[in-house]
Amino acid sequence: MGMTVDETRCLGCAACAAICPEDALTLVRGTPEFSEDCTECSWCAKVCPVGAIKREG
Amino acid sequence: MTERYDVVVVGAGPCGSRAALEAAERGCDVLVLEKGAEIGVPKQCAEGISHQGLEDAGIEPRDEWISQEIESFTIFAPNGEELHVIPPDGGYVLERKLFDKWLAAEAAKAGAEIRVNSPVIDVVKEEGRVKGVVVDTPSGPEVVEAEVVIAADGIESRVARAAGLAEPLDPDDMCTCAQYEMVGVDLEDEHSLYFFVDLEWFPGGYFWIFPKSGGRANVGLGIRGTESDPGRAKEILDRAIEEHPVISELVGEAKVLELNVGGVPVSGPIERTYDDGIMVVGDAARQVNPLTGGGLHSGMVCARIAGEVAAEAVEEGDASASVLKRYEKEWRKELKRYDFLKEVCETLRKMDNEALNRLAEALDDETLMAIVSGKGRKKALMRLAKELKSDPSSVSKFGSLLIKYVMKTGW
Repeated sequence: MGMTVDETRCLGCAACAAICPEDALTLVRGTPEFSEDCTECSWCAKVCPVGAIKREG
Repeated sequence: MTERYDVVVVGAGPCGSRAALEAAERGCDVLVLEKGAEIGVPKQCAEGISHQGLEDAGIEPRDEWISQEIESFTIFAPNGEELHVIPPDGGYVLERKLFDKWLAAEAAKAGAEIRVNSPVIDVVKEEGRVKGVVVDTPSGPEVVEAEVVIAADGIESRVARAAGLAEPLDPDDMCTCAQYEMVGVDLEDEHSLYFFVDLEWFPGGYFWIFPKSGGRANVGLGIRGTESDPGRAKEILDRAIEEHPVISELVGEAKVLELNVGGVPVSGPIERTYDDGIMVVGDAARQVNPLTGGGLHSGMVCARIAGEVAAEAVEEGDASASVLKRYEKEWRKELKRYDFLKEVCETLRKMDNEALNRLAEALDDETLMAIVSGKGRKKALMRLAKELKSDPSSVSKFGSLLIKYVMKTGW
């Protein structure tokens, strides 16, 4: 369960963090990290230009 | 002891550095905090700016960071119909890696301190007033105090959010973009910016080819967040280069030097860009042209104003919202046509390819010339608007919008 980031694909552009409706996603040293507020709505995955975010489970 | 500066700028992109330069030149103690290890990378930009844009930002053009001179636009309609537009003012494609570094160096020469590898993770507030920022350092979080914080930290708007000035962007108000810098690009005119509009290929956005020196070009696209799926922006980029009837002819044989990605806020600016002790500039304030997605011109103009107002606040010993609101008043004057451009954009994206083809057909050379030169513009626009309004396709909505604005503004 939960959102996972493929760090080899992620280029740290922050498009995901800009749109997260729950403000549950922050770039920490260039990589997205999710807080417990994440509802797995998957908008972050949807807007990712390189497909680096996935919803598991 | 806690460090203290007159002005702390968060982010050393072009807006952060432009604001820092202005404030430092006006005698402020300025610190710029950049999260990255190097200024100017990664590039998240197609690098185009008009001559007027640089002038408005108060920057003299320099050969060292100009990659290409631009004299025209070439716009392709969905049916391949080509519009050639020569505006009275030309422009440049920059080498952003060099430009950003040069601008930061100018700020440094004017006296600003710059710290790289220094992400800002929060603001410090006292009785509701912003008093400084919290920096993530190898030895833990450290506070830097400031009379004025200028948030230029890009699309994530982390600092503006911490200050309560920005909300998350609606995915429909963001374009998700993918771009290659390529070499071996075969353009008929290497002094023209190429645009491709096609609502089926590039929903809610467009594709661009911006030529650079040495046969290089920025080749990319943006689509709306709501039209995206995981990895879709890059997939469409690859597919267009392979299969699009016009694009594949121009760049199908070119080779990739770089992949750039990012989000562009096309919502129009946030409602309020200042509060006690803080101003927000550039992408962080969504000061981006909502039709083109361009943010260099608008962002740096607003940043220059922010630097000016920050210096006034320091001089007056009062960085309360009542002083900093001068910033918002001034930049809103500069970007007042953005409401119209947003409406143009929303109308265009709700049309279909047939309507876009009709629009391209109606924009004959004479009409285009009148619109871009300003000579006979009002008459040409009214004639165009009436022709479009009576069209059976959805382009008629665009006609109505034009009529409304020509009547309202008197163009």
